[in-house]
Amino acid sequence: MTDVTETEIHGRPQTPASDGCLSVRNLTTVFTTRRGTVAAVTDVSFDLRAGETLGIVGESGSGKSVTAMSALGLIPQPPGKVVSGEIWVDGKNLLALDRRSLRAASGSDVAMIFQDPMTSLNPVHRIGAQIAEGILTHQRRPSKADREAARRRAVELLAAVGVPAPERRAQQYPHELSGGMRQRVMIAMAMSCDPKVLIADEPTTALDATIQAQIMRLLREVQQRTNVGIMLITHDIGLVAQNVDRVLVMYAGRVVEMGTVEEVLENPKHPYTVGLLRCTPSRLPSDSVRRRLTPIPGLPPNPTDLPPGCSFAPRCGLRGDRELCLLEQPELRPAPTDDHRSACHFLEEVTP
Amino acid sequence: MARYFLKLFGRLLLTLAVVSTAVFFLIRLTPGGPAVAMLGQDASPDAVARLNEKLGLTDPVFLQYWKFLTQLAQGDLGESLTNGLSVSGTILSVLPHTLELAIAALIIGKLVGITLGIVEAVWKDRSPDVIGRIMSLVGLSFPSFFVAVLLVLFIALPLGLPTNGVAPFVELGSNLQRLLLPALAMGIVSAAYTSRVTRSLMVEIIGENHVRTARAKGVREGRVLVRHVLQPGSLPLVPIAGISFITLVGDAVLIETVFARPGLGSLMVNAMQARDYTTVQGCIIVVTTVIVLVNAAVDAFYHVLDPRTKTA
Ligand SMILES: Nc1ncnc2c1ncn2[C@@H]1O[C@H](COP(=O)(O)OP(=O)(O)OP(=O)(O)O)[C@@H](O)[C@H]1O
Ligand code: SF4
Ligand SMILES: [Mg+2]
Repeated sequence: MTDVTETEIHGRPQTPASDGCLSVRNLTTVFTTRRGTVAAVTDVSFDLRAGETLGIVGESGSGKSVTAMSALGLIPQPPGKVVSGEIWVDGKNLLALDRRSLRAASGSDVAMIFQDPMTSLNPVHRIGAQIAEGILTHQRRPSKADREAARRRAVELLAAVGVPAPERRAQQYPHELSGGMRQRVMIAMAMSCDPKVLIADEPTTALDATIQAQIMRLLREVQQRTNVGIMLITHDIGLVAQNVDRVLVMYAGRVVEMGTVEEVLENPKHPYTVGLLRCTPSRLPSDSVRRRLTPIPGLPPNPTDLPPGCSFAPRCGLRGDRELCLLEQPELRPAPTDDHRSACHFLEEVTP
Repeated sequence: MARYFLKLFGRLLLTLAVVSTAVFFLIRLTPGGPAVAMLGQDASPDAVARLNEKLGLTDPVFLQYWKFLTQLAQGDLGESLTNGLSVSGTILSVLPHTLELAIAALIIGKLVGITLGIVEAVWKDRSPDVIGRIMSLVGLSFPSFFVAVLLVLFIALPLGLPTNGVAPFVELGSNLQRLLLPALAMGIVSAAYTSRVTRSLMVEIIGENHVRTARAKGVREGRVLVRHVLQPGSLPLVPIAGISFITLVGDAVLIETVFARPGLGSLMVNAMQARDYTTVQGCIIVVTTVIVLVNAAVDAFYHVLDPRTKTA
């Protein structure tokens, strides 16, 4: 299904990168809770190019998953709501699509794999049928032959993601597979419609280290084969260093720093990023030791009650007693090139 | 498979042994006795003693118990103390009416309750959910005999529907007419309970990760509901239906009395009043058997449905 009517009305975005396969512009998503309105994601913009991997890092609750889920209309509403912004994929603004067109785009333009492979598959249907469902869902009135073809394609996809004995596995139920195998199935399912963008939300957090490495290798292989743009959400700086082309650092729902992996990891220009990296044993991209993000001293701000100026101000070591940080929200600006940006009033003073 | 049935049979025997022993002794501990019940409070002690002897109740109680057990082992439930008829014959003649009532109430309760629960879960916290939950709260706070009285007052009487008795199964129309009200009275209460259980079950499943996966694949909402919410959700509903059925058999005792329907319930109530020991024992034994068999059927059905119980 290719419903593009909406897109033609809205035309091209004002500033998407010419080779961008995903362009997020000014995305703002809030949740209305009993304790007030949570600004989960505020004014987030970024581009993902075809064949590129963009890493998104940040503490728990910084809005990484909400950014991803907003793109697929997966924000539970209520309590959530995408208040503003544009998410452009393949000439379509996903946020302006009606339900039907968004559904058509989900899985075919943008696919997603999740953190917990143990619970992300339906327990009462066979693996093969679940993959085939993703294919058939995007066909208008599939015939018997289409169904047969989808079933065969499911087996091919399983083989392509390194599932041994794919014919037999396709006939099995999720509980018969290990966590690593299930994540492979999720990847096969995500790739079934040749998406332009693959969002991987902590795809290896629930897996042990060896399996983790295998899954990351598989994602790279898949990317080389299909030129898919991957948005990799993770807590793991080691994973970022080894697998990612560019990095987006999020704090309290905002992007605080973005740039190539070398620039951000070796020459961070935001005090929060510096803190993140300081908490890890080694921050050289070449280092192979697995490192976890450990929290910086202090707590992330209460998302229902963000301070008016820089959200990081209460924990920032660089601020001193400068008033500006409390008064004015810092915007992302070149640090010093256009490719490496930081949202700090005093980014020139940041030292790694 | 053979082992399964053997185990089932063993469980049935054990349950029956415990239940029949308990009922045999407990009923003899209740004050009064069949002779007093038949002859009245003012009967001469002499007459009571004579009748008791005729009924075999003057034998030592363990001798009576032995006789009861040996008969039971041969599938013989004995004769009624009040009318001398075969207890199993009497039970068999009324059992279909009780089962018919419980099954009809089960169908009404599940159809209405599950539908309501699903609607509530899908529109969680919005008006269909709020209205549905108020309705089930009301339904739950009314006992089924009270619902029965309301139904008689506001439906049966204005419409001229029959409010008591049963009709033979061959007269289907008349049979169903007489079935409708008691089944509704029990079904409404059962529906209220079912809707609550269904709602919380479905709300839980809607929040599960595999539902998010289905949506991320671009699956239509309707299909998400059927294949990814209702299908996994139908499994736990099976044992719940089993429990409901057992509760409904118990409820039937009350409702049959309200509607003067011949059935296991009214048979048991009358037998209890007459201290007709053998009939009460027979009824309890039959009800126990039904319960054990329903449980076994639910168990088997669940195993057939759930792929996780099958080994690779
Ligand atoms: N369903 C929801 N209801 C209310 N608030 C929510 C909901 N989902 C997310 N939020 C809020 O949105 C904010 C961002 O959450 P998000 O899940 O994007 O964090 P995250 O960066 O993915 O964290 P983690 O690393 O723990 O996955 C949090 O403050 C959270 O409280
Ligand atoms: S703007 Fe101020 S408070 Fe915020 S990170 Fe920069 S120095 Fe720290
Ligand atoms: Mg997350």
